Parts: sequence; structure tokens; C-alpha cells
Amino acid sequence: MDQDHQLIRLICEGDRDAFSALYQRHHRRVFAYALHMSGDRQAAEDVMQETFTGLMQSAKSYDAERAPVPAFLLGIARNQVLRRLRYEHRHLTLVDAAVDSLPASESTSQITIRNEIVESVRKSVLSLPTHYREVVVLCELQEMSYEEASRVLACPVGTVRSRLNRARKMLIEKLRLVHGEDAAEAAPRSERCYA
Amino acid sequence: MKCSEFEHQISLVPEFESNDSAYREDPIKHAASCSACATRLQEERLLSWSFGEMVAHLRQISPSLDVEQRIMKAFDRERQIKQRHSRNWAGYTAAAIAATLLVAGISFALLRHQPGPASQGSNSQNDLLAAAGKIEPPHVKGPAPLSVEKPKWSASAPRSMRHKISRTAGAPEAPSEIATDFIRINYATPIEPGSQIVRVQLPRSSMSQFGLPVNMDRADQPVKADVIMGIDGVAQAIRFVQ
Repeated sequence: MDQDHQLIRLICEGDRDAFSALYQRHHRRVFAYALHMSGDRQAAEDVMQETFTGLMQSAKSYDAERAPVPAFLLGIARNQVLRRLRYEHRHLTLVDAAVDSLPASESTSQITIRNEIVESVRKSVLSLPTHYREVVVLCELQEMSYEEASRVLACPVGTVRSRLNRARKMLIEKLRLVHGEDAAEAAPRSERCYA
Repeated sequence: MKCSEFEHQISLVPEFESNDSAYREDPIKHAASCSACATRLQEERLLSWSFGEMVAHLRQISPSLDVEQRIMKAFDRERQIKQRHSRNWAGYTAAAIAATLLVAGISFALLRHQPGPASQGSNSQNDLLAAAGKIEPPHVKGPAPLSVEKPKWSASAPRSMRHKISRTAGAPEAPSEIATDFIRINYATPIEPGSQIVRVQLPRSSMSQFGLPVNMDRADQPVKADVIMGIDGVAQAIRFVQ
């Protein structure tokens, strides 16, 4: 984190190498966030470009006491995404990539079901209202803690927690509607949680 | 554990997902005996798993390389603009300082060469009168310094008043008017440059208020007087004119 602060300070002085280093450290995270929020690769790249362009202009206003650099960058990206969603009304396109990380030993039908489920979850996340989608993207997909997410969203931790619970219930409802009983049966045993 | 408690427990997502058995043991036991809650548990498990898959998949996706090139070009452009602005500001500042110095120098030179008023800095009555003499009516010459010449316009004037009567300096052989010296009315404020002399007409009897002799036979006749009016409009001095 100290390195990020140092890079920001150098960027304020016009150091090109520092800017390039900061980009290399954080561009994937910004891109992933923009992609999950917009569902469109081109839009995500545009948001990423606008985020780092915005960083050039707002680096001097960065306050290390308020938020770490990743949260600062995601805050800029969030503003860019929300601006796009407000004026372009685009949030339901899909990322074109297949899910192929399932174990080979499972049956084809189950793999197909799980792929479909993942696609359904992806679509469902994109269809959530913006303030619910944000918490899902930050906490579940960006794997941020409640505290980190609250800094990006500029809201209390309790708000993040309650929104995430509500968002998960909404997603499960959508899964039930789309897949019914198959969804629960297709759920693998995961080491991530609920094992 | 009741189903409502189970629902509450699994809603504590980070705690439930941790390895802390205190959060997981009871809900899992309850799910083993309640089919609805077991389904609910499976659904939560599926959702979390889906999120994990999405995260893993996105790690394989990168933004295109030209995005980085565009961003670095934008940075270079921004840096050039900032450097140009800072150079411009330095130039503007230098030009502003030079202009200020030039204006100040010209103003100072003009002020030095401008002739000041003759009575400036001096509160003496005679200095003011010398200045007032320049603006007084043309037929009244500037008063001469105090003289002890015998008054001409009033042979009957008492000896004590002679010193207050002066012939106008530089007057022609037959002056049209003869005036007394200025007599101060108001001693509170000095006579400042910019005061004006106003010609007035007063009853002759008013001369007695200033200690001047008055011919009672002509007391009701008017007499001309010059009054020095200060810049605040208060009469400062008066002289009587014949």
C-alpha cells in the first residue's frame, strides 16, 4: 500500500514510469469491475481508460487517510460506470466466454446445467438494480471486505451488508424461476463456502 | 434451531463462509433434518459457487493492449498541457509584474512633476490668503502683509484698528476695493487648501461682532464681505470690503 501512495505522489509530479507501474498493478481489477457492472467488454475498456485518465487529473486530491488506492480507483470507475448507465441505459449484454472450469469427471448434463447456471447468475447480476449490483460485484466478484466496499460506495458497512443479503435473495429467486429444482441439485460441493 | 434462526445464520455470509464452526455447525445440523432449509442451503451454495466461477473466468480475460497505449498517450498529452500551462503562467506573471512596475513608475513621475498647491502643509493665514488671492474676484487684489499705514477709507477709524486695515498690495493708484485682513471666525479647524472665498453682503452692524468700529449713522447699510468657507462648509474667516 505504501508503494501505491508513493506512485500517486510521483504521478502528481508527472512521472510517466510511476503512472505505468500503477496501471500494471491495478488495471485488471478496474477492468473486472467495469466488466461485471456493464456486461460489455468495449464499455469496460472505455471505463478503464476514463478511470486512469481521471486519475491523472484527480491524483492531487487523493487522500491516503480516506481510502487505499484500489478503493480510490474503483471509486472513479464507479462514477464512470454510473454515468454510462444513466445516459446509455446499457446493462444487459453478456460477456462472451464459456465456463470451462468444471471437473472432467462429472456428467455432460451436469456440466451443461452448471454452465447455464453460471450464465444465468451472470445475467441476473446484470439485471439487478444498480445499488444491489454494486455490492455483489465488489463483495462477491471483487472479493472485497464489507469495509473496503463501504469506502468505495461511500456508505456505511451495515448498508453494504443488508444490500448484499437482499441481492443474494433476489438472485436465488431468479435462479429458482429459471432452473427450478435442477439448480439446487446441480450445486457442487465447493470449498469456498457452505461446505 | 428454528428455520428462522437458520435463515438468519446463513445470511451472515462472511461469518458463515469462514471456517469458524460456531457459525456453521448448527445450521448444517438443522439442514440435515429440514428439507426446506436443506434446499435453501444448497441454493446459497450454488450462488457462491457461481460467483467463484465468474471470478476465475474473468482472471483469464484481459483488456486489449491498445487500451494501455491509449492511456499512456493520454498521460503524455496531459503532461504536455500541464507543462505548457505552467510556462504560460510564468510568462503571464512576469508580464503582470512588469506592467505594474511601469504604471507605478509613470504615476510616481507624474506626481513628482505636478505642481502642488501653495498653501499645502501650511496653516498660516497669510499663506492661505495668498492662495486665495488667485481665485478671488479680479478686482480685489491679494492682500499685502500687515502694514501700519494710515487707513485711507476711514479717517475716523480708531487707532487700535489701524493694523487691521491694509492697502491691497500691488493695487493700482485708485483701487476699486479696499479690504480688511481676514479675521478668523472658527479656530477649531485649520484653514485647509481647497477652501473657497465667498462674497457676501452683511449689515454694517455685524462688523461690531468682529471688533471693528461701526458708524452708527450707517449701521443699517449693507457692507460687502469675503468669507473663507472651509471644505466642510463652515465659515473660517471673514474680511470686510469697501
